[in-house]
Amino acid sequence: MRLIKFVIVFTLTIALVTIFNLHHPFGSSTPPLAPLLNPFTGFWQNAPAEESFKNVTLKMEGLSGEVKVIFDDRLVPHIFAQSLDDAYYAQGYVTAMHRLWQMDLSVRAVGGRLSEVLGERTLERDQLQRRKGMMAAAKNAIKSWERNPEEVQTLEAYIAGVNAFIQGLSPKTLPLGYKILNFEPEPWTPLHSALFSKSMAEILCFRNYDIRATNAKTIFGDELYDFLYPEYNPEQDPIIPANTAWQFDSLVQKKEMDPLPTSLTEVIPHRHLPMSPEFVGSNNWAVSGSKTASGSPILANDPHLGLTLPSIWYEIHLHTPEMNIYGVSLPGIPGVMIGFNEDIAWGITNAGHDVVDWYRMEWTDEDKNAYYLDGQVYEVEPVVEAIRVRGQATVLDTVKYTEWGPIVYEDPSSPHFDLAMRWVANDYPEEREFYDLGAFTRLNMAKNHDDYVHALKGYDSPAQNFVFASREGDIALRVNGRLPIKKEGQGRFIQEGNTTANAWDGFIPKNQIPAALNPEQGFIASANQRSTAANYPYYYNGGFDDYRGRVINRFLRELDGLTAEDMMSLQNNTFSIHAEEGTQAMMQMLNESDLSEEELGWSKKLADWDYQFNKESKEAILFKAWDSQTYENTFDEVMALADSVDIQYPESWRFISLLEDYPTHQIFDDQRTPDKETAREIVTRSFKQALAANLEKLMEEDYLWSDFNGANIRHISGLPGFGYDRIETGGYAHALNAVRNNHGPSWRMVVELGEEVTAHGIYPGGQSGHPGSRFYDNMVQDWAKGHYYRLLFVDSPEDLASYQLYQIQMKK
Amino acid sequence: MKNLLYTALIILVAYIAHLFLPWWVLPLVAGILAFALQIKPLHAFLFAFLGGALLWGITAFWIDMQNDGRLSERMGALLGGLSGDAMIVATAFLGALFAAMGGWSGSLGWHYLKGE
Repeated sequence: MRLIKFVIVFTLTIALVTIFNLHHPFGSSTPPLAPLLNPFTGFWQNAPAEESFKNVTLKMEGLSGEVKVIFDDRLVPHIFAQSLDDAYYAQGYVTAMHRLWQMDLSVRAVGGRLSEVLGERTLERDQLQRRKGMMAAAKNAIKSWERNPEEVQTLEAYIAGVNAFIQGLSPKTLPLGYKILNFEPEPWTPLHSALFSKSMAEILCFRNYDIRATNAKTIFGDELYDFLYPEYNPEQDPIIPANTAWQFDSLVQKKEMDPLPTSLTEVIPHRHLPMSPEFVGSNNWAVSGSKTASGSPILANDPHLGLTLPSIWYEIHLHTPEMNIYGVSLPGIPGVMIGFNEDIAWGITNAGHDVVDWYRMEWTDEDKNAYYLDGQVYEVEPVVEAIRVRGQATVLDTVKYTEWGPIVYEDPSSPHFDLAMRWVANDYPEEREFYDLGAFTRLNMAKNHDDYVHALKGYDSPAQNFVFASREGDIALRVNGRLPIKKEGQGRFIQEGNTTANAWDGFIPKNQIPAALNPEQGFIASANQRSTAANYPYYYNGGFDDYRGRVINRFLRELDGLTAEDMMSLQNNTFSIHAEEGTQAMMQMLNESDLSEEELGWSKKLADWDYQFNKESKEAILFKAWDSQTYENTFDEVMALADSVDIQYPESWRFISLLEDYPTHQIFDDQRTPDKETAREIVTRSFKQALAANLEKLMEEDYLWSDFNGANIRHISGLPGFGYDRIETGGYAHALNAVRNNHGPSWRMVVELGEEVTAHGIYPGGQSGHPGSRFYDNMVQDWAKGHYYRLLFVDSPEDLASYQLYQIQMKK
Repeated sequence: MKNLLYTALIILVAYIAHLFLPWWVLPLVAGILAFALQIKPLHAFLFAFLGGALLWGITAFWIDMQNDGRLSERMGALLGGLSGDAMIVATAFLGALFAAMGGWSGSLGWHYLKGE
């Protein structure tokens, strides 16, 4: 009896211990609860005490001298080292210390290795990443870095720092994410850093509309397509001033090129791959001393990206005898991406060039292993991707590479054709003096315009608008990257992959890319719009912003005597030309005699609006609701197709110009009603519908525009409670303060290049990626209010004395 | 008296063992101590329960206080919308449960071997 009792209780104990130690027990998504809640090694150990910042001295292998890392009162590391390698080593160490989990997860996400730790639920995503060639592209990037010993050295120093941190981890000090998902970090390698750099390419230059555009053109026919989807907005204000004279002819004469071989005539069944939303844009500008109050140039930059916790940016200051650089870095990459030193400042925005094109492959037979190209038969190059899946057997997926690139879509219902992707980010760069990493380390140490131009020669992808200002007084901008030379119209639609006549004609030489130095207007600005006016010798294909660029240029043209504060208020400006033109166009068409008393009241309110998207603005809510409703009712023909095929939507500027110029066009007729409508009926009906649908929100005092706009900051892997579901802040996708949903200004920086360089900045997050830290999200509310911090750009550790939180001394 | 000593020893020994060994050392310590101290089964369960609850609960409470409850609140939201305080209670309960089960097993083992 006693034995039975003992056996029962003992077995029960063992069973309980086992169950509470299980990862995802019984198919749930519950983490192993006992180890996670154990207060000695579980999550509690990731909840640091307020005053846990104590000075430490660490002995490090791999350093050549002593390094002092001083963390200021915002936990920004100021690294004082005696050599560049030591500085990058320390950068790797402190970045991993604060962001290892983020680095790990980001790299797994881009390379298609999430399933290794998350299991089957991410398998499809991983497969897609492999099919896009992300892993292969990262391997190409490493091969290019390896050709330059200096880049290898920089990367190795950084990686050694990351790994020094990883090696020092124990079950107790493991970052929280590892404890929740129950796995351990692996050593950081060059492939990890390369994958991270490819994740930026994926975020920034994977925008492509070829499938949607092809379908729209096929369904609507050429005439209606060209009418609804013009290539360019004539109102757009290019980045490089239109009066710029180009001192060269293009390598290929635009006009003399062959017309494109016949396009497709059938609807493409594939869905577009997930890609960054349209409003992932950015602003940057530099104003010359002639337009500033101090007489010194001022540079401003605010890249708009997904707003996450931890933030994509990590603020850092690196100081060595040959370099003194401050700015934001990407966790996983050595050096500073956006920043300034004692002589220059630079900022980046995404270039709108379309660098992804799709080719329809003509297979020789249903096995799909060989295809026709210029009448000859080519074999595909199969690359077997092994995707490890937690708790399951490894999944093998063969990705077929063609002369164009990987076959991303394989459609079983189409035995003879599939789509191959040609994407610049997958390229193996041509041999040259240095590559992307070297470009940034050079830019970090640049002293003047020549150095900046030289540094950017090594930079390929993702193509960016690099704005520049120097203490010498120069301002400049280069649309820098690997820009394909395309034929007129090339890249808008899916092309036949059976002829090399459809290939790009190489790339625009770096000395012919769109660039400006000290333009007459006294400023230079970019906001992702078209790079150049039509007089630029090369064909431009791409572009996505129509409004922010115009706002910046409008303000900067009008204003003089500018100060850094003016730049900050400009970055936070919520005025939108889109709203101005949209409201006016819709108001023109609104049939007031058809409105009720209440509706009339609201329309009057909107008529008096200043087109500012303040967080409290009710007008902003009404405008947005009305605009969307009118758009949907106008393009009901497009909307009706959206469920069955992937289809391009007309751009917002075109919608407004249709209202203004073609109010009786057939597109305004709502196919769902027996009546024949014009813009007047559609706009009026939409106003009534939008108002009725949103009246409650408009009347409720606590409901803000920012709620309607969905402003939020999500946790990087979407953990509930680890992000902000709601942020009270103004802003609008088409305003300079481009907040929409969980996208917006991910870093705001204003640098004045006077006798002394003074800089201000902020990002919506915190330096620490640890959710238990008070530096996890300490800047979020200040960011929402439009505040800035003075960036502590100093020359010695002593200058930081009054700001010092604690320091790490690293000794060899 | 012996029972309270048992509780105190669990807290002390398990605390030290936790610095080196995974969480399951808690039921192990409670079991071995119950066996060695020849604690009666019901007492072993109850006083180990107390020891586990105190050890895990107070440790969690102390950490949470110094952390201003930032992380416990987030973890609570993650684990089904619990409050930060509920996370402390949950932690204490888990500690209590495992210590109690371990202690009970150890005591029953001793009872069996004693063979009466």
